[in-house]
Amino acid sequence: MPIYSFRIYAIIFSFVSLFVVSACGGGGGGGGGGDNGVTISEWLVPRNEVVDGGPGVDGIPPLQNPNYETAMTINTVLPDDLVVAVRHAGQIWVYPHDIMDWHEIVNDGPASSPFIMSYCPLTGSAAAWNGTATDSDPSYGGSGLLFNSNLILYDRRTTSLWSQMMQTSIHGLRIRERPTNIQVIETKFSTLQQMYPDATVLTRDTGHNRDYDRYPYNDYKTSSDLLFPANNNDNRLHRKERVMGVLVAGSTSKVYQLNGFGSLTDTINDQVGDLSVVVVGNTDLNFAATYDRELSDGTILTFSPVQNDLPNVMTDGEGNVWDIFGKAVSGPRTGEQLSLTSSLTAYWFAWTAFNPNAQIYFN
Amino acid sequence: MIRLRLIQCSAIVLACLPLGSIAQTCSCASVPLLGSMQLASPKNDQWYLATTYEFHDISDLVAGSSSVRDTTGRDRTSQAFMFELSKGLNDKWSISALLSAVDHEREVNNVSASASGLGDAIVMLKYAPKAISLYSSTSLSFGIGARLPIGVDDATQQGVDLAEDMQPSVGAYGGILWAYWAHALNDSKGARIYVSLSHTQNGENDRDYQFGEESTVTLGGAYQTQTPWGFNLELLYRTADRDQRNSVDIPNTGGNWLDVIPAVQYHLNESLALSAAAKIPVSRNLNDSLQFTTKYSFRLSLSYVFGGTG
Repeated sequence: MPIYSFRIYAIIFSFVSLFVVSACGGGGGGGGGGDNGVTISEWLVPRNEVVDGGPGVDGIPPLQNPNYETAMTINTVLPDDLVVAVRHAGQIWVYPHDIMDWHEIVNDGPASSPFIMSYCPLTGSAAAWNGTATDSDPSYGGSGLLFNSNLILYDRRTTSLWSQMMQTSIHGLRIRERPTNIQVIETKFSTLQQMYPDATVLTRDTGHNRDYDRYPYNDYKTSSDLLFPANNNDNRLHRKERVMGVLVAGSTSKVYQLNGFGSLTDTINDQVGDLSVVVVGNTDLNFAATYDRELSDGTILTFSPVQNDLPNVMTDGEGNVWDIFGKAVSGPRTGEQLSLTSSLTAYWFAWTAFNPNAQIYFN
Repeated sequence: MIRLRLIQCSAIVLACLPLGSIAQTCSCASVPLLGSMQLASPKNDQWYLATTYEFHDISDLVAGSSSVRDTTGRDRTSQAFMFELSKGLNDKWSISALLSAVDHEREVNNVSASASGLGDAIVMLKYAPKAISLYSSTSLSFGIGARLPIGVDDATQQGVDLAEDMQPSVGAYGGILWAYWAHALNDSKGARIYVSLSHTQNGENDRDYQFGEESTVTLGGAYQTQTPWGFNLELLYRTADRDQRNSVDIPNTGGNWLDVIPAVQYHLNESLALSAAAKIPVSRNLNDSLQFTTKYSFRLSLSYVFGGTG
């Protein structure tokens, strides 16, 4: 075969090879990673600020009805380890941070009353939402996307996307829907054991091979560095300072520093916009919670702290004693439940990313 | 006999090409491209043309140096086509250019994402003060080059930018240094050993992302038989720094890899050769707690040498 023919062949082969791949696009395709095939184009957040975190849809594997041990018998959680506690269906469910760092989402609860617990290690925020037992699939997964460094979940029934910290569907068929929140309490494990020794604690027997002793993001918890973009850099506090934020009417917000309560339990009867709130916390015991002080009958209570009686943490002028989940355990309102506020514990940078110009409570 | 001698002459060019030496320097958005640039050093007025297909299966989950069972049903592959053209400027200097087209596929729990398009280009100037010939049993080459971000670095999935490792192009300029030494072990020059070194420095792209610096060391042996068949065996060590965003280290990126690369070539005639190579992990020690990394990769290549004064 003449050399000339070889030259032609080689050149044609090369360009055909390049064309085969180039012709495929110059862009993405497929059915997921972005938004799982959701076709409605509207976003509640700037789409160009939504980023692909890398692992892909459920690449950080959510847990589904995992295994539990009681708080008194489990031996893999250290006293100072942070945990998230949820009271739901007559039970206290506890989720150690060191497991949630690796899974972020747990689809949990009895079949008749499912709920979704999520924890975003990049924003330090936890949330629990009621599921709908009648849904064909009430479970949620991780979309692999982030907004303001914060986890974006998707619901498996409609594949709509949900911002964890906005607590709203931001894209898809259920856009603008808000989940029903369940109160979560973050605290250290020894405090949780004092409060609820019979609580059920998520075990490391998750079915996934992960080194739960190892934090996956190196010094992220304490460093001022971020791994993904977030809006509204506000240097009034250290970026990773943990704050309890309260949001009112979608725009006014105030934060309470978790290290600002002191060694005794303290209550702050405060006003955030039009909302009367109580914030109860204890820095040494490492907890904080916030509730609406105004009851359905119009009464506005004023709270004072209760010491050394966990899980009971505050009392009011009527003589009621209230536990950490905002339930009256004694007094004339026994059994009543304080209303939740729109609040979250999160790193300061994350709170301000979603809620610019937040007020900071100072004693 | 004359045909065999001609094959051996072209093999001097082809067999001295380290298969993995510059491989990682043309990573297209983090995927190391095995032998992506073969770094031929054509002689005066000689042309070297190669087209290469590579496939990477990036589904090994590794914690440090230990394999971890993946429970996410993840399937992550990359393919690349590359077209390389080199021209000998004189007996010592030559210039090479490489174009790439890349396809990334990611599927986790049956949900897929993909991106494809033009990848990065590389241009490299090479200086070969010594070459293996009838009078010399040693070859020495140096190269300096640049990676040009001419490809697609803004691939999206329904409007959302895909992660950096899914982009066909790194999206930033980069610099490459390369050196290569080979020594023929017998008079026929059919057997040789070689060492090559490379270092790549990556710039920051417009999303403030910077892939980590990479260095490689390749130890290899090549043997061209008296038939059209030739064989290579390489040991490739690669070390990469963590990637960064806004100058902040990204956890679970970077590390050290040791791979073995067996390869075979078949010379269709004095100018045209086919080659196939596979990259098989020997060991790796990756940064931080968990990373997906290459399970295996392979490469098919067709190369053609023409023109020149010999």
